[in-house]
Amino acid sequence: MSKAVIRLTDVCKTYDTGAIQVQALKHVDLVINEGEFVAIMGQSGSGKSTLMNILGCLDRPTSGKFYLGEDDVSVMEPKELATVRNKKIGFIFQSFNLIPRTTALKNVELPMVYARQSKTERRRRAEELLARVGLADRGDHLPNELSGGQKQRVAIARALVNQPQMLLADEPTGNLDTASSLEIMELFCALNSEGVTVVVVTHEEEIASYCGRVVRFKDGQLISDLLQEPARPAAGLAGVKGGSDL
Amino acid sequence: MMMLLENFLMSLQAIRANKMRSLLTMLGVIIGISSVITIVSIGDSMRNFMTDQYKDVGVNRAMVYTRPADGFYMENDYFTVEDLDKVLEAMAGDLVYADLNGWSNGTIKRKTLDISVEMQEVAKHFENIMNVTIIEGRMINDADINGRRPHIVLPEKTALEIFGTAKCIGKVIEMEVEGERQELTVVGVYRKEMSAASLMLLGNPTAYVPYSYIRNVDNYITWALNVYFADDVDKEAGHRRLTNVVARMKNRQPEEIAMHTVAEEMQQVDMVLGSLSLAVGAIAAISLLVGGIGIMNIMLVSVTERTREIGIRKALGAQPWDIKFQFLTESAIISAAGGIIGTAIGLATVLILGKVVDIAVVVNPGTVLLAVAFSAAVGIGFGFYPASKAANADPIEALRYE
Ligand SMILES: Nc1ncnc2c1ncn2[C@@H]1O[C@H](COP(=O)(O)OP(=O)(O)OP(=O)(O)O)[C@@H](O)[C@H]1O
Ligand SMILES: [Mg+2]
Repeated sequence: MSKAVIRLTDVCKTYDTGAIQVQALKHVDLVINEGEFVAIMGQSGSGKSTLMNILGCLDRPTSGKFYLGEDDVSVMEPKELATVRNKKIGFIFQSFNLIPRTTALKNVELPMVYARQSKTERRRRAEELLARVGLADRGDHLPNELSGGQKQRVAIARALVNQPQMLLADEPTGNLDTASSLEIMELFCALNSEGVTVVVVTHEEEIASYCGRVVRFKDGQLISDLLQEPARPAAGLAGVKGGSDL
Repeated sequence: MMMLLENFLMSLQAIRANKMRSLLTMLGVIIGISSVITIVSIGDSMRNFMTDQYKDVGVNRAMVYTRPADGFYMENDYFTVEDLDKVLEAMAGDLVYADLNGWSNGTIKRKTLDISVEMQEVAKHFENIMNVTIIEGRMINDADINGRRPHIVLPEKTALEIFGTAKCIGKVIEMEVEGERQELTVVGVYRKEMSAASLMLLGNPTAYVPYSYIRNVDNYITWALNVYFADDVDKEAGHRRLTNVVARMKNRQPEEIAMHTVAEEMQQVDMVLGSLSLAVGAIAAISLLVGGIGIMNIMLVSVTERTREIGIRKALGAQPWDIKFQFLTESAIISAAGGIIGTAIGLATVLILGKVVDIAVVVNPGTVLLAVAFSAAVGIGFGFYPASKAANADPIEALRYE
């Protein structure tokens, strides 16, 4: 059996909004191993984003343990969490979250800026990744000059730039049309086949069918966790340069 | 180091994205810095100007007179020509020149407009303290004074007024002095460069005449002696010796001898001007503070506005320090740019003002440095709170912000 990259034991998350307390996650136990491609599903408000934010070290569980590899995340300082987010995790948002008025290339470089990498290395890698997601010629474009699918591909390039162990994507195709969605999913398949652990939140069964494992939530509880045969193997992605130089 | 440059570029971009707002924010600092520099430099220039004027009058100059303790002046309290000689003799090593502090005014009758000539009644050894340039003839000399000769030395301007030329040596001027008709022969013409401002302060240059001709030496008395100390005499000791000499001569206590020195007056004026410019400068410095608060206000707005961006940066692994530094750099750039523009405006104002009133401008580099350093400090100081606020934001809260 391969190594666990994520280990959640009895994780709860309660939002305290003053008047009412919302239990967004209830006693969740979940282990995700290295190299897995996991879909997280469930109806709206079932706690998927809450889980992803905890996995992405953006938020902390109210109770329970969260191990990232061997490290206990619940005891980490804000500084250490920043380092973890920077080096180990690539996070992809539904709303892309590119920095406005900043070129695609600069956006992709940003995690490397915070990792204190040299300018030449940053430039080289950012260009390489933009090419990987098929946007070699869009480096100088500002976010508002890109289509939704292109924005999401820039965001993926940015998430990959520090070679993270895992990619967390919260409804990455939620704002995209079917063609762009499939392109993004095929990109994830390619990355997964190169060994990157990928966790994707989605509402669409078709998207989930790309994954080898589907975890379902309902009202903050994990209700099913099934392995499946991925519908389509990660294969030649049209227009996107393949390669395992990640 | 790399982070610094990266931050600098990012901040420039943010400032450019909000040009108008950044400029308005800078305005507070610009006004503050330029007014501090202008006001302090005007003060410094004024002091320098006044010092120059006093130097022109002669910093070694003093006026000595009696001031009886009981307020009753005796005839003996006045100074005669003999007293003048006695004082000069007793103070031979200390004084380079002394006279009876006499001035008179001559009027040259003309058909249209009378010409008025202010005359300083000079005594022997006047050449020792002369600070003008003779362009024609010579200065009044001891022979003129001993011989009670009717000679006069004119300033160039007066010579031109009377004769239309400075080449008027040997010509005779007819004038009325204190009701008496006098005929004076021109023996010299001098020139003195004066700025408009010093003309205003000191008035027109005067003509020189031998006191012994204008006054009747046998019964001439004045209330004060006008003396000049030698450069190398210790002022305090010299003043004490003079006080004692005059006290003995006039049968008065040393406390009853009053001395009025130019150096003293200069110091007083300097002090008044100094504290004045300090006070006004302090008021101007308040506008710097107001400018700083403006920066803080804008930075707070900017932090709030960019909450989501801060969230994204944190999600990508920015350390709290990275975020703090980014915003600090931004406010430092705004205030430093404001400081530099303000300095330029302040310097330009001072230089133009100096040209207009024809005064040598003194700009203390320390003042400029202090003002700019202060503005940078204001920027960083007032940027600190907003920057910390941004740095400590919770990543998920920041990302959720709409
Ligand atoms: N910041 C918050 N404060 C209070 N309650 C919250 C907050 N964020 C989420 N919740 C609540 O927690 C529950 C889970 O929300 P979450 O965003 O995780 O759902 P989700 O599964 O991602 O839904 P969707 O598919 O619509 O994105 C919901 O009931 C939601 O109202
Ligand atoms: Mg969600």
